[in-house]
Amino acid sequence: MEAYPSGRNGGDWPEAKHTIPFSQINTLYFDHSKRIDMRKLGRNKALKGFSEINLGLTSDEATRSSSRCFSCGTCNYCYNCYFFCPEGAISLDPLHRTKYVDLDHCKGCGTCAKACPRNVVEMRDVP
Amino acid sequence: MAFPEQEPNLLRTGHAACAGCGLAIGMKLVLQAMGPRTIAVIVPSCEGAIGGVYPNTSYGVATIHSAFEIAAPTAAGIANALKIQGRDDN
Amino acid sequence: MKDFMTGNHAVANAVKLCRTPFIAAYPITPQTAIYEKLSEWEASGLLKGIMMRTESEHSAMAACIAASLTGVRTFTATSSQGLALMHEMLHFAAGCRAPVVMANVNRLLAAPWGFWADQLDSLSQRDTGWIQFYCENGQEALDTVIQAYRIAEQVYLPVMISLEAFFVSHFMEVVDLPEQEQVDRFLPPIDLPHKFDIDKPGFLVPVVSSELYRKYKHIAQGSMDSVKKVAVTMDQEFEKEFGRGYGIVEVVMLEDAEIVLVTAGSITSTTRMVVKDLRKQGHKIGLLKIRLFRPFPVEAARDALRGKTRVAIIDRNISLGSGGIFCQELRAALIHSPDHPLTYSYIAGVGGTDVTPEVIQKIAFDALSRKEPMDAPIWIME
Repeated sequence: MEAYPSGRNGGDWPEAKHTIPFSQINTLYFDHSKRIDMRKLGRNKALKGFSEINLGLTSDEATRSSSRCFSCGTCNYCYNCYFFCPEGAISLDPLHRTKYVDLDHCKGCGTCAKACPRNVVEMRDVP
Repeated sequence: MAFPEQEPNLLRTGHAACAGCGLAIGMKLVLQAMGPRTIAVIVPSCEGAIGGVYPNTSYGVATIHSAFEIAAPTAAGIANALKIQGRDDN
Repeated sequence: MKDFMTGNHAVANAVKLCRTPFIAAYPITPQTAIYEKLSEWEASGLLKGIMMRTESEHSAMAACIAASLTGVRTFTATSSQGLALMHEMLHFAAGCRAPVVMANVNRLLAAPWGFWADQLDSLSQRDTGWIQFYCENGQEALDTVIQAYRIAEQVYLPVMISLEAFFVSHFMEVVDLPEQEQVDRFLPPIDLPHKFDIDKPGFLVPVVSSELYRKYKHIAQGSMDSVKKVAVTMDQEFEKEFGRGYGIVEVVMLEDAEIVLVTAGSITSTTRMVVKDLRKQGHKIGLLKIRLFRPFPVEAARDALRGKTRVAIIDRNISLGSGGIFCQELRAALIHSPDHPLTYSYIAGVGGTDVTPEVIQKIAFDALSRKEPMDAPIWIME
């Protein structure tokens, strides 16, 4: 039995075709962080007129907030699968957005699938 | 960020470890960190089997497969001999 | 240059003269003086190189093998328990074809404990693939160490030089120390093949198939056999340079001998005296000394004993259940001899008991008096 990350033999694998729920995210690779809420205008000031209540995010807050994104289901070239493969069968090229699995040497252990924080890797039976 | 592919994989694909072996992951990363100018000392263990049977080997660095519980003195012997030869720059 | 020193110090001096840069050893009575002397010289810089003071003899041999494969000349020394502890690595060294030279001071093996001379420790390693020499005195031990490096570095097999505890190791004698230039001429400092090549990395000591293992052993046997000739050649060259030669066996007054005493090690010195005395009394007695034990000098022994009717082998060892080991080996060597001499196995000196001239005389007359062949060894318990 062989298995390979979802996609054709040795080619670019398409993004996951179904949504990845939170339960399938490998949260080991993410730090706990609280959602950053937008600062709001004080109650007294808000009642005085029609000014916008949501004050927006600072540049720093925006960066921090967006970095909390899991990128679930979409490969962002974090290289986790590359590091964890015992065979060294995976290679990635972020510049050309390609991912390649050497199927002659992949032993189907599934470590890459478990280690992928965003559940992009899919194991499949190959006859 | 340096793309890791640029560094050679010194525990070459096709080694004899079990599927998903943690030792193979570790060995691959250690050898990658140490680079090609390394001498590896292996003892009888899974590492010895991973090496493969002559004439094939999956280790990409100079390796010696020594005996049981003897990695430390073997490595020290090599290190001291290299020092005597004046080859201990690496 | 003549000096007065123990057998152990003679060996240590030989190692210094050979400019051995790598020593890995562990102290054990009765070898300790070798270890101490080399340690002192290495620490003071008189012996250029590195001495690893390892945690055990097993580690010492591993370090020596590794250093030898890296390409430097190596040395270690041990005795009984230490030799037994490194038994696994002895096989490994011979299998690696590493030209390690080791001095073994023959000491009895526990249990029960003791430190006295007994040859069983090195003899029980005779299957490990090491070349083995047995030395009669400190001078011979010194000379054999120098010869050993030439032999080892030619055939790529490790060499073990044995000298008996206390009788040779601690006994002070006049020793002729060769000059450094003489030794340099006979044994130039050499760079052994570098087996670790960083640029073209290889795998040392892999797992091999059965057929390949058999092939390696076959090749090693060929090298081991060649040592019988190589050792003689080196000894002759040594004699030309230093004026002393030993041969792989030595015959003393063998021409018309009715009884031949066969010995190895320090017992030989005593036997030389006894043979001379008994000859003066009119007895036709001779001596065959075995110096090279592995490979066993079958042809030389057979030639020496051609036409002889009675042979008494004196063993300072006992292989329980079989007999004296020199006797076993000699009997096997003589099996195709057309003369079929009567061979008698005498066990004397086991555990370091003293083998006096009286004991040897007793052995000689006992062998002369026997008519029937005897398989079992005869114990001389004085």
